[in-house]
Amino acid sequence: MSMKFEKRDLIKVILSVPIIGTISAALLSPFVRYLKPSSGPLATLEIFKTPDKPKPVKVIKFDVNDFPEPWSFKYFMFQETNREYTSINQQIKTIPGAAVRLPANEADGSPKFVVFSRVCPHLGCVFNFVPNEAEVAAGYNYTPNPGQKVFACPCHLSVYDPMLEDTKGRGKVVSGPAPRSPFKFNFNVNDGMLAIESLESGGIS
Amino acid sequence: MSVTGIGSNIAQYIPSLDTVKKFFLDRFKNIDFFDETFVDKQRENVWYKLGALQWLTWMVTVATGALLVGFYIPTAEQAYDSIIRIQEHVPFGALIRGMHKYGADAFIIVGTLKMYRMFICADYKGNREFNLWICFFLMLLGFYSGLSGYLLIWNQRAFWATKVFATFPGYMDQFGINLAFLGETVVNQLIKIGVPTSLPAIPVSEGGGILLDMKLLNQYINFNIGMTTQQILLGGSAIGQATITRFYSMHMALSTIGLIVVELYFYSNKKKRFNVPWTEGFLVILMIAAAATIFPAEMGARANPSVTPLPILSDWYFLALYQMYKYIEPVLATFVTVLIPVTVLSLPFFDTGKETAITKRPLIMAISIMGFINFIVFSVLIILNIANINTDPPYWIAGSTGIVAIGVYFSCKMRGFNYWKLTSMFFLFLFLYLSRIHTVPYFGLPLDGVLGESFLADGSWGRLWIFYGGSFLALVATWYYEKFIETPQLLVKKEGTAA
Repeated sequence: MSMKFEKRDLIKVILSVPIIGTISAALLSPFVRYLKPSSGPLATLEIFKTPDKPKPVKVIKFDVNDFPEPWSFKYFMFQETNREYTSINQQIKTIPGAAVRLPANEADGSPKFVVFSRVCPHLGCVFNFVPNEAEVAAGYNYTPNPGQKVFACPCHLSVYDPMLEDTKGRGKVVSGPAPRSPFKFNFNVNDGMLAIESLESGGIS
Repeated sequence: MSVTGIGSNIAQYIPSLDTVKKFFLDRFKNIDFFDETFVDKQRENVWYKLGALQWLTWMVTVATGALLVGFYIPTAEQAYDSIIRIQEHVPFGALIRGMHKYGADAFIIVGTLKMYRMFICADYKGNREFNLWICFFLMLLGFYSGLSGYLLIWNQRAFWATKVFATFPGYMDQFGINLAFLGETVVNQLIKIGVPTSLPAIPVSEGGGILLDMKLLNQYINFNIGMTTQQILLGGSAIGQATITRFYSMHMALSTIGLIVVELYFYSNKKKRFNVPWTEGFLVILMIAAAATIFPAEMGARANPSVTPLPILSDWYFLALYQMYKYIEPVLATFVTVLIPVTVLSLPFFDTGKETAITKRPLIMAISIMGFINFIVFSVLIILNIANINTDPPYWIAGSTGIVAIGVYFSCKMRGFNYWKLTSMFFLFLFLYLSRIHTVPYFGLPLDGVLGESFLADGSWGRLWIFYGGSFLALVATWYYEKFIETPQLLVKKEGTAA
């Protein structure tokens, strides 16, 4: 009679899992730390929760009068310091962005803005603000409603509407494969100046 | 000795250590890297020379690569210029670089053909499944070397292909939520109904959840593994100098490690690596050299991180995948990208019959044809920059699943409907596609009003129920069929064996 598996064996197996897990995690840790030097000791436990976040280099400022009417827009390059695992240790990366003035608030008439990173949250291409409705209809598989202005990505044809919101804020995806609205810059409007300060983290650049 | 309690139930499903050992030993005995055990078959079937050519093309890339290392400068500032120098000023530099590139392309082509031969001629039968795995890992080596080698040129196409390639592992972090835990939509609906949350402070969009503490689960199950993979791969969170250094070292290290393994193998069993007359080998090398002379390897424009080229392309063997990324939402697309190699590696274990003729194995035939057609059609579509993401997906999904369905049908017919597990798996993935795809799956028919936009909209309840309900029904139906309805074919078979 062939006997293969007893209760006692089951207990052995269950007990061995945490022990083997601990040993392999301990052995793996130095290796992971070598490959990803920003992680601390016991990297295998900690590393997975602390992705490196880039830091902004300087604030970009625009005069609000540069946006004379609704849907005027400006492209800009925002600089960030990224951790880089070389002897230099960091690199400065430029992120293309776009600031668009939206139609004014009904209540007080003050200008409203959206400031998006132009790096597509889908697979990292650089997308554009395409105010021309005919161009969107011809090239991006999406026919805008009259008066609807959109951002559109040439790579995989995602279309973002800055007037609509999803759970991550303005720029809802109205067409295409993108999983979420664009990454947003944190900005404020003071004394007639639009100051763009930092970027929502996520994705690679 | 008797088996008691829980142990007795589990015992019948867990193979003994000896069975596992025997399984591996049987397969290690039959290992074959470059068709060196099929020498006698070469006389009747010329396709068995592919293994030798695979070795030869690999050696061509290794040799020319070793020469190129002497001139290449792996820094972001100088990489592009150093390749221009190799191309224009170094004597025979263009030829060597061309042979390196076309040798690598030939390696991929030969590997693909060999893989198809293995499926068509059933080379994996008789405990030879690992040979297919070896061929596949050689292909992966080729793909990875191609991808990392491409970045070293530091041109526009390379930079953006790397960016796309490096972005999609990030979506692995969402596998847990989207596939295992019913998706954000369900969670949102539950919130609307008023199910109390365990951690009300964390919004669903950030992983906070209900019933299960999703934020916690996400941390401990997914471990941000996608983000970590990206950062280890790129040497930071951006493509830069660290990326070049890492890609450059891996580009050479993987080939070297592979080479050492192969040489140890041939040293231990004294077999010949190259089992084809050398005249034929020289002919192949001449073909590669001719390609390098007639079509000099192109340079493209220097990488510019702020301008995306249009259309965005990659190496030719990834083009079909790129087209798929246009159609499918990225989490599913990443899942499918992982699913393709897993399918290829596990198919031999599904094909357990004794038949070797391809016409007697309809499922393998159907999947081979489906893969080939998809590869060609998608590649052509992306080169011509044709993609209507709103109307195309239903057609190609129906086409692909249709071809596989024909294969499943004939397979079931031949094996007396004994294939119910496979059938269920197939339906499961069919419903997965239909439920998670972006567009409405009804072929442009004016059914919007009938089926209801809200019911079948992306990520809606309707889609999810189609997926979970449909796959569950398929499982139950096939189980029932298997269990209670014995088919005539099976009866005939049993009578035959009894007599």
